[in-house]
Amino acid sequence: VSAGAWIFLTLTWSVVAGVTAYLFAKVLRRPQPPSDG
Amino acid sequence: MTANREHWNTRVGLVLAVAGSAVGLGNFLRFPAEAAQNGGGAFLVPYLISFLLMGLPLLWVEWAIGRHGGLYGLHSTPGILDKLGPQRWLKYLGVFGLFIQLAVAAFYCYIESWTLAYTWHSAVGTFRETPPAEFFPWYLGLTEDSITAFPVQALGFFLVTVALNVWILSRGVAKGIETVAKFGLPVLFLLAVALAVRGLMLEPGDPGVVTSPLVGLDFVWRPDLSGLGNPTTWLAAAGQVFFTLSVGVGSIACYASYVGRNQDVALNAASAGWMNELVEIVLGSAIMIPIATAYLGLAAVEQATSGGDGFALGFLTLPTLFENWGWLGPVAGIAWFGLLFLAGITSSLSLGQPVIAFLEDELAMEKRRAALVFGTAAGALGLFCVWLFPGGAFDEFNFWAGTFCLVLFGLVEVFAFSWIFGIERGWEELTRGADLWVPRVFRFVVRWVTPPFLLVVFVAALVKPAEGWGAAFAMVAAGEGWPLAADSVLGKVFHVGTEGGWLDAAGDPTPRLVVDATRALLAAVFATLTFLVWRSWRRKARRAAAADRPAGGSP
Repeated sequence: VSAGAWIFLTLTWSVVAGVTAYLFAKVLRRPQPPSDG
Repeated sequence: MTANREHWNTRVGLVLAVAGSAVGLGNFLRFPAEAAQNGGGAFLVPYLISFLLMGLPLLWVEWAIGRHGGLYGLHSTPGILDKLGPQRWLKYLGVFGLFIQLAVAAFYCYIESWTLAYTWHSAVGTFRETPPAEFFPWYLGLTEDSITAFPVQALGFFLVTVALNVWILSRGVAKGIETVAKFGLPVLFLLAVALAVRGLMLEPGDPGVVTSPLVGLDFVWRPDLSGLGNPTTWLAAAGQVFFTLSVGVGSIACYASYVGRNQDVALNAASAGWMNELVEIVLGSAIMIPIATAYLGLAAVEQATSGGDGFALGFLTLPTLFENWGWLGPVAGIAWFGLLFLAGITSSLSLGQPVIAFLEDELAMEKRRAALVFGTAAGALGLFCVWLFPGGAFDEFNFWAGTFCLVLFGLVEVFAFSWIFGIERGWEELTRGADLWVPRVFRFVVRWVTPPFLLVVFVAALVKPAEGWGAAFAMVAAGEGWPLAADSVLGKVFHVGTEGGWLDAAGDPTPRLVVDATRALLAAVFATLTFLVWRSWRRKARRAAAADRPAGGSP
């Protein structure tokens, strides 16, 4: 794998995985039903 | 009107359901091919910019208008749009949403049924004896030189798929859709990770392996920075972002309409959107192309993905390659097509629910009956696609309902949100109860950046040139006119690239007849839905007049 590919791959995967994990963790921290019911 | 008081059981279930709506076959089949053909790693620059300036704002818009409509007990796009302003015609713009949901469900359930059939055939070992390249045309009934097909097995799997969708939908939002999403998304994720790890561990010297799978990974990710100056790359990225998120369908708005007045939508929207990106960018790029490259070599994979579509690799090539994995082969086949099926069904459920909500809200239909009506309508339209698949009916459904109307309705939503509902009210709706800080710059983005972005995508689809944008502008400059592509909107309208009439010299019907008949059918479906909206609002108005109170109630 070329250096350029590694750079783009690791950078993008890290950002996407990091942001997704951060946001989903926030969702899990407030697990109340999303409806007034 | 019956009181539709459904709601989601858990917040995680809602986020997974919306993510499941977005995660579809395109995440695994289309994205890696598009990326590889449009600059590799550099494709991610316009892709992520499009996500931030168009995708994410559109997600927020759909969630916000959906929850707003839900406050009035309205869960389908005509009702949701109707409540954005006093204009009477707003509800008719919502017909686009209903039309997209019904027509896309029809042909999408057919694709979904292929993945179910392939899961079954992987399990029973069909591909050990019959290569998928031979199996697939037989399965679709394409072996005869005819514009019609009657593929018995494909019909069977299609009807099973539709019935499964109807059954799940009839159980309701929480017991049906949410349960499937809570099971389906984690399983899909695990299957994809397992396949990616196994695929990337292949080495030259393993049975059938000709090169390292990392060569395939390099093919997807090697950056070609010159692509950043090419409008084709930007349009491909914007198109991929738009279609992968399932925005412009109205499904997200429907799901959000079951959220309470003061509950968050900003975080839910962002979380579901980024989850889709994780599946697409990380897992989508790590399975199909690396495995195919390991066995076929780079040249064959480059050729197979040259059209920006990995469909042939996914359905025709991978099942054969898995046979090299010994006892693990059938398991891999089940995992691959099983994950595609889970990706498909979570999406098709999101197409069915808004239609059912319309039948419940506006026609006072009981849920089970509404699910059955939806299944019958989608099934009947789907049968048309199955029957006339060789003549091009399926492609017409895909193009007009699944591509053209999607971008159009996305434009409608964002304009209605910013300019009719108003950005002030819209912003208040989006941020009320938010568990995520939304930067104020997005007020500007939603109003002034996202609409032009979408407009460019729309116009590009309208006049897509035959041989690249640079060549087309050069032809215009040379006074040779604009070379419309056959798959541009105008190219489709004017039948570019096809000649002859409805009948050939022998008097037999031609694909042109199928294409025009399909368009007539789609127009009839749209007209019927418009009539239903008109009739239900007229009834509501009469009922409201009789009760001497405003229509639609109050939040």
